Amino acid sequence: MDVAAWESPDPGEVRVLGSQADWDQLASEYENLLAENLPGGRMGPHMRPFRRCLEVAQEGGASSVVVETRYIDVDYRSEFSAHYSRSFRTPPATARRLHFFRAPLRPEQLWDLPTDAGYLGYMVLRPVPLGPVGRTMLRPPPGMEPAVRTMVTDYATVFGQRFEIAAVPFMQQDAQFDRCAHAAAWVCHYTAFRRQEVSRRSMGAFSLSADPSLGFGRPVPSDGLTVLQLLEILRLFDLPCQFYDIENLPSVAPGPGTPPDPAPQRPDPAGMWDTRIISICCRYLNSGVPVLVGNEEHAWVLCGYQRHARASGSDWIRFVRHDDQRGPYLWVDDVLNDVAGGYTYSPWRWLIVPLPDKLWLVPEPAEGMAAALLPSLAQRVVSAVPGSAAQTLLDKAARGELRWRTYARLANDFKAELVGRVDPIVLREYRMARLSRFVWVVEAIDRAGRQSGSQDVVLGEAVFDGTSNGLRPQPMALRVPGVIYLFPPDGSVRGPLICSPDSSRSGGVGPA
Amino acid sequence: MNKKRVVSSTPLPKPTEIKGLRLDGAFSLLSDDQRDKLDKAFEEDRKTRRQAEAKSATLRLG
Repeated sequence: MDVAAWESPDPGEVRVLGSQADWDQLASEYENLLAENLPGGRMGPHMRPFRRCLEVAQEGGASSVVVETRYIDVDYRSEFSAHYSRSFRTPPATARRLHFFRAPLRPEQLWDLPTDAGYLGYMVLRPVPLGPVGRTMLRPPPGMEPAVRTMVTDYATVFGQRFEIAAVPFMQQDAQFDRCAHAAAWVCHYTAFRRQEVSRRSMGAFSLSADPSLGFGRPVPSDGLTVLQLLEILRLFDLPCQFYDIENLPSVAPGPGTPPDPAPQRPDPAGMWDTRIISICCRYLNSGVPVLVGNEEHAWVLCGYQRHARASGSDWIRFVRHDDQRGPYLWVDDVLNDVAGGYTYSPWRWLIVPLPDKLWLVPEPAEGMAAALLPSLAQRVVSAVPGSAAQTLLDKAARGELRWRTYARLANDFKAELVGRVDPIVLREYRMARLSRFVWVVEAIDRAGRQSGSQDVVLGEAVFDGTSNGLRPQPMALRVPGVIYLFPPDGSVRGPLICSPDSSRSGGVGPA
Repeated sequence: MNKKRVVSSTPLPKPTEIKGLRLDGAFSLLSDDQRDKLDKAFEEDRKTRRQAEAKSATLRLG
């Protein structure tokens, strides 16, 4: 590739994207620029993520793009140092970064951009034709935004001017040094980094740190990672994973509001019929934690979901996917028959959830325990005080209108997010309680209320110690309508405390 | 003579005394039968997780 062409205009430019023709021209210019470095000169499917990123920016209402040339990108530099600098035909050592804005910008504004220009995020481009899209933070398309649950905040400095963007990180594999598994792991790790849970690891480190004894063949060029290698890299980078083999998914202990396990439809693989996949993914996405998913050959990341209420039967869930080979923010319409963009993702084979170290308890036992404790508490309250508001929870359970929503939060975030969500007594009690660093919260949801579009659908909740044992999840608090109890670590019991009988808004990330 | 330092206690109101609502702990809400069923379910949960197929571990994702 012509380095001078890649690094000009120096230091950058602004382009107006006022019409479809402007967008098409931008796309084809980059295709041509990158294709110069590709034997045969045709880009093919490797530009799909780039085109999808442009589509996302366009749907977000972008009307101008600021291009930083000669951008020193940590991730691309790490790939360049470890790999490209050693190749015979060395590509440029710098990347480009494209920043999208809603406002139409003029060239003379580059050094004094309006603060209200409607920043929509950025996309780093590597000078690598088979995997051009580097670290990307683009705001989700407007219609999809409420469904996206693992967004983090990032900051970009554009010629000395700082802009903030909330998005789900995305990166494409370069098809040689890193593959889909590296890219998916990087998405999860960068998300945790932006939340200050882990230190920054460059994309190059993901490739160099793969344990060759857990895989096959040569680490470089990479043919991909085995599941064991993927688990080990994330453990090494301070995000130990919860692993789910879809052929052996755990059940939630039966209780009111707990759906029965699906009947196996063998010989089909479980990825074609086991609806527990959905509830497992939702528990982590409610926590703002991305879920790494794979079939027998490919890995991708789930970053959100949307619930569609159905009059009869259970609700239907559509997930949001980042696929490094197709781009960010793509709908998964049917988990059990997942075919999209010309690729058959089904059957899903495994789920990997990279988690903070101190979240030891798994959510399924916590949900089972809550489904036993909360109705029991409601029954005890109603027996002691006939006609009390706790009867609501029992009535909902009896009518089959009770559901469970489970999520993990940092205890400090859980406490901070209570404002305006719960009554003053509950707020006081939770804020003054000693809680483990991470908590699992299981909410009793009024399904009919949720279907009718009400926000106040939480009848009560159980809050669990994130470091407790899956054989005996330890509740730190229980609340049913009108009454709350706390269970401090010294073994004492604080309660009963009378609180509001009203339903409250759900916590966690995204709509209930 | 040193004055004794006065330390205020946590300003939280005492719980309400309601007959029949005194708990010895969260698990005292559960009957023996419920506890047995939960113990069995949680053991089963552990067992299921241990059964993660060796085949998954060696899948190559690229």
